[in-house]
Amino acid sequence: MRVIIAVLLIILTAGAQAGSQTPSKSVFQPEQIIDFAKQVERYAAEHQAHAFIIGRVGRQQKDLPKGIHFTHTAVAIYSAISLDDGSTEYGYAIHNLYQRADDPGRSDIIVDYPVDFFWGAQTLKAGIVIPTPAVQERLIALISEQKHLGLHNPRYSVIANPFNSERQNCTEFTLDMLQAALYQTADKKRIKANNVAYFKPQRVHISPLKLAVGSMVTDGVTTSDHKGRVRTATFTTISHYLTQFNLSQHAVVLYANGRTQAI
Amino acid sequence: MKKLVIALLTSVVVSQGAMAADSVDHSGQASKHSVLASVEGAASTASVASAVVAAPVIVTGMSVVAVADSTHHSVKALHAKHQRNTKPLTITTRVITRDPPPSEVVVEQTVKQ
Repeated sequence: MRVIIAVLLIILTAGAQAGSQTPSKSVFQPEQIIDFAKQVERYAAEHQAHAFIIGRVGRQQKDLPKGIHFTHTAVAIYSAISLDDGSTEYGYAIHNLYQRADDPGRSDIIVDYPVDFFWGAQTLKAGIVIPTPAVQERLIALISEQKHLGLHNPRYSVIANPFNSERQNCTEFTLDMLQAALYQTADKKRIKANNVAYFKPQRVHISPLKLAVGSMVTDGVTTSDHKGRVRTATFTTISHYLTQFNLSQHAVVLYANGRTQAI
Repeated sequence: MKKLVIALLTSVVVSQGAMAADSVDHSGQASKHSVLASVEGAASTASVASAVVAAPVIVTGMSVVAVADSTHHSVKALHAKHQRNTKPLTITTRVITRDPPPSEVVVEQTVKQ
């Protein structure tokens, strides 16, 4: 009995430090990641996307809860990128909400680039949702004017409730950016009200016991912002939201072998 | 009591994987930058560079226009012009990445001295 309790305590302690926050090591060769990242960029460029929603899979497929196909979502914007050697190149900059590895209950807004974005991918597949030109225009305006930074809530939960402002994860931040762009507002109450009115989140199919235990072992998991069933925003539900309201121009999953699958 | 502890133990182990969601920032990983640097040295085509800043732009016909500090109306006008352009957007062949974390920069400088 003492041994069991000791093991439990060790796991609980380790979980509090690592849990879902352990950064994944790259499981692919750097050349594979570089090639795939460029493939994603070229695909978006061929579709003349100045702004699109991008998703990656950073966990093994078998570890993903039912209904969740991507683990990280952000907005990619076609940009002139000034480099450290003084030159300028053109490609996509990705605007992310990232959970802190050393403080899992907090997050930061970070701009990175496709190779960075896919570095921790466990599967070389990308979610790509290209909104209609009108939505792209508004997203570009929002980010150009840095208004998206005001939408950030640094209190992180992996299963954040998109219907309130208590916690936020990467996908909810993406959704909030979209809503702010669509309604051209910085009013968080209005954004959340429209999430409630029009957005259908994904139910998280994890037992209440696991969620309770998860919230014990890491600050990055909490159900405190939920009442009843746990639902959260996902890459796929954002895609469905845009499609439902005729705001999506093109939505696919792109694989490393070049195959695409409509979402 | 023993059953409860075992159940809890099992749930902890299972929940580690089930709730992992990978929104963690990988882009600042120290190892990534050294790996990319080695790729640049070994491969003939991959040129790696760190980004300083990225500014949204819109391609309109033959020109590329920065939209920073612009109003929404000008973004809309720029994008409307872009719609008449059917060519793919230009993507650099260079490998662009975020700057490495400060800890790695200090290590690199120490090694070079």
